[in-house]
Amino acid sequence: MSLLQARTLAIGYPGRTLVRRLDLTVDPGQVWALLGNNGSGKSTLLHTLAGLRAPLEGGVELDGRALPSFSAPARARRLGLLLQEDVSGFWGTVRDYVLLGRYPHRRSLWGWSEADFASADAAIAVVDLGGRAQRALGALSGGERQRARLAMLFAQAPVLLLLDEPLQHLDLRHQRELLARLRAWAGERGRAVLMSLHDPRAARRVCDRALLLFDDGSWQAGEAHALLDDACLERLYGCPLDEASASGQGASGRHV
Amino acid sequence: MSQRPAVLALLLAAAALLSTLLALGIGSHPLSPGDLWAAITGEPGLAHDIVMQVRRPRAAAALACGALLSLAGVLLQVLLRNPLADPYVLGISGGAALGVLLAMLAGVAAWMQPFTGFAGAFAAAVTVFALGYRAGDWNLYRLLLTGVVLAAGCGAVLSLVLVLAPGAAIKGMLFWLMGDLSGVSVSWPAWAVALLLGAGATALGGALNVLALGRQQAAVLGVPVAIAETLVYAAAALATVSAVVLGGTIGFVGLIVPHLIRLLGVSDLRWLVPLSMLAGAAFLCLADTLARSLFAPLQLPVGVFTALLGVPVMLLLLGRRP
Repeated sequence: MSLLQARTLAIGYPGRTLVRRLDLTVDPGQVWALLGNNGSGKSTLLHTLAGLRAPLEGGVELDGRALPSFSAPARARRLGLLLQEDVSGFWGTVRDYVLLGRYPHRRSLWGWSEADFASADAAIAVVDLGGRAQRALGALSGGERQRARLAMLFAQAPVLLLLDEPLQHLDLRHQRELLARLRAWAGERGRAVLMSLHDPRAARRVCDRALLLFDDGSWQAGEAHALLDDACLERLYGCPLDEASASGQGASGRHV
Repeated sequence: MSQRPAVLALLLAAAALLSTLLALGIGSHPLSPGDLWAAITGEPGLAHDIVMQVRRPRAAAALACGALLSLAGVLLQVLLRNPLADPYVLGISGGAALGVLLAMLAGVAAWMQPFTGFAGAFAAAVTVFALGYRAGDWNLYRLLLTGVVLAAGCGAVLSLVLVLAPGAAIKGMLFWLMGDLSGVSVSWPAWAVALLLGAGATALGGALNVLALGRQQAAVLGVPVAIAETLVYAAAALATVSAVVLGGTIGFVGLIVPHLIRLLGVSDLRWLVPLSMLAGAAFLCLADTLARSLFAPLQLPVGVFTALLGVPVMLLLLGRRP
């Protein structure tokens, strides 16, 4: 059975439709890249698929069930979303922050179980923040905060990960580690990833499926190697790709 | 690290007990610890009457009021995600003040004033909620702005009332506006509200922690945000109304006490709620004792002392660590 399914979905705001009649099926094991220009509806689509906002038309199914029929905690155990919100206002430590990801799994009203602590600490190690666990979240750099947000999501341990620009603020090494981690993560236990990216090379490297959102509200979905070719991307971004990026084997990683 | 909240809880409980004993022992008829103990344990006499009939109700009111204002402050700082939120930011106190001062102006009996104050506060809370929760969706900026605008409107009418009031009534009105616990005789409703809301908010502290992350993040983590925010608003409004009806608009407690606990290293709401309530109770009880005894027989409004005590403590803590 497919993990997530969108049928004739229209998203946007009243009076402004961003994406029309979208049909999307995410199956276990898949890693999807979501590409499009600024304002093309990537975040809005992710929020809609996560159930944070209602679609203008159509519906979303998770595990073959309509998304609104899930209780909030049950949905949170199946589906996680990385937001782009700023988290610097949080008062506690990195570990306090990541532990909150265990909220949908909590067994008692007030405390955390040993299993919660264990999965939070494991998630912190995964994003390479082990040495920062007891630091105040607000004292971390932007990239470290981004990793803390990813750690919270890993602690939440959903089956479907929706990620809104997971690579933002990350240095090159952590970008690569994260992509490799997501690829491996999706290969286990019926999981899947759908993430918005701005770097077609990163998408080529780890994604097997791609969804392109065009500025006119149309879209294209399918195999990544077929969709992520130069002609398609130039039509998507409305600008010529330079050689390093277009050939997919840029040596330095400086060109985009 | 992990015992810090528990240690703080013990220290604050001791502080609350000490400030209660001070409130019972200090006054125009000072009592030694031995006399105080005899009076409390029921030895009949003048000391017993003073302690049990004059000082005890006032101390009880101060404790409840301090706890309620701190609770309202914590809850509104979570709801509005604004560290400057205090119990009065949503205009509830303005409504209560209007209810009480209009009653004073009209010469309504004193025992009626808490009820008119409650009516005014309730009307304000419902107005702000109805305007802020339009179309089934919270807009926190609209909520905040509605509260601020309503408070400003109430402030204007209050100024008008003060100008129109006869000279003899003005002092009572000013005392009420600055916060005054001298006339309180019944405080058990406030205690009941404080204990109930405090227990509820503490039990749901885990959900409050998630809610404080922001509404989208809270929704991602499985908190039913609209219901949770409505409950938080209602609890904060009820706590504010109960406190204001009891002691007038005592400033500073609800804003500063939660920050004081945070600066002492506790930001987890499962602890921040009960610790703030304890600290607020101890703090207001002490401030009230000072307000009525420092310049005796002159009695000062307690609101003056919450600021006089709170400002240096806060500045000290702020300067202590980056």
